[in-house]
Amino acid sequence: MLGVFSAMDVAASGLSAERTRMNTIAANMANARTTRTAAGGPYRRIDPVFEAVLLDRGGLRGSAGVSEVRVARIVEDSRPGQMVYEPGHPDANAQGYVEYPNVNAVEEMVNMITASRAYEAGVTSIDTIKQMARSAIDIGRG
Amino acid sequence: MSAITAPSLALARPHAPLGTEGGAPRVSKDEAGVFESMLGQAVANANSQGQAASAAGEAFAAGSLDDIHGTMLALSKADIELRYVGAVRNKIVDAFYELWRMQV
Repeated sequence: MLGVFSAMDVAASGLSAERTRMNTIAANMANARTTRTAAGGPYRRIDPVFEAVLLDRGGLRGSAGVSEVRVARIVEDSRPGQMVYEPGHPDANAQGYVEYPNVNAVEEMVNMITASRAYEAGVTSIDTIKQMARSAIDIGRG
Repeated sequence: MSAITAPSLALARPHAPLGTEGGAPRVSKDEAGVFESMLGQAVANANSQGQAASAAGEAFAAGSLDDIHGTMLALSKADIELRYVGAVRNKIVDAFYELWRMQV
């Protein structure tokens, strides 16, 4: 198979990873005020952990040392949640405080912009790979 | 051009055509199959990419695949592979015509 396609697959792995990040951000935003979870307690914000996976294409020229990105796992943020005094809330503790998730909307917005820009960068690299392949094909023309 | 072609053809006629030995072509089957296998391999590659793109498109349309960039990438790969096959085919046909027009 052509080497350009392995470059495309590497870029595609980045797109998949950024999409996973976007999923976690959407989940964090959606659950910004969730006080009940299956595990008990308030929602904890989640973050994906990315890892590099060496691309093994049977010694294909130009692919040595090139790594794809993969989501290793999704971890919970251990930071404490926000304690808000709401005695009337059904999930309030004995002191009348409700623990809200440790989600910070501003932080999530920043992460969202980062994910969006990283995705765009991945798409740009795919476009460039396509352009390069087309230019290479044009060598044969004429 | 034809003025030059005609005498050279006339000169060439009396001699046995190049590359023949006792009427049988000297070109082996392997050598003769180079163009064929090149084109065949390129077409097979393009076909497999095309099938992958088609499968990805169908899966996406059916809703079983929630992967926009994967689908688009399969389509792009098929597009590039097809352009590549077209370029290879054009080159091979050019080479064939180059040989066809060669004065013997």
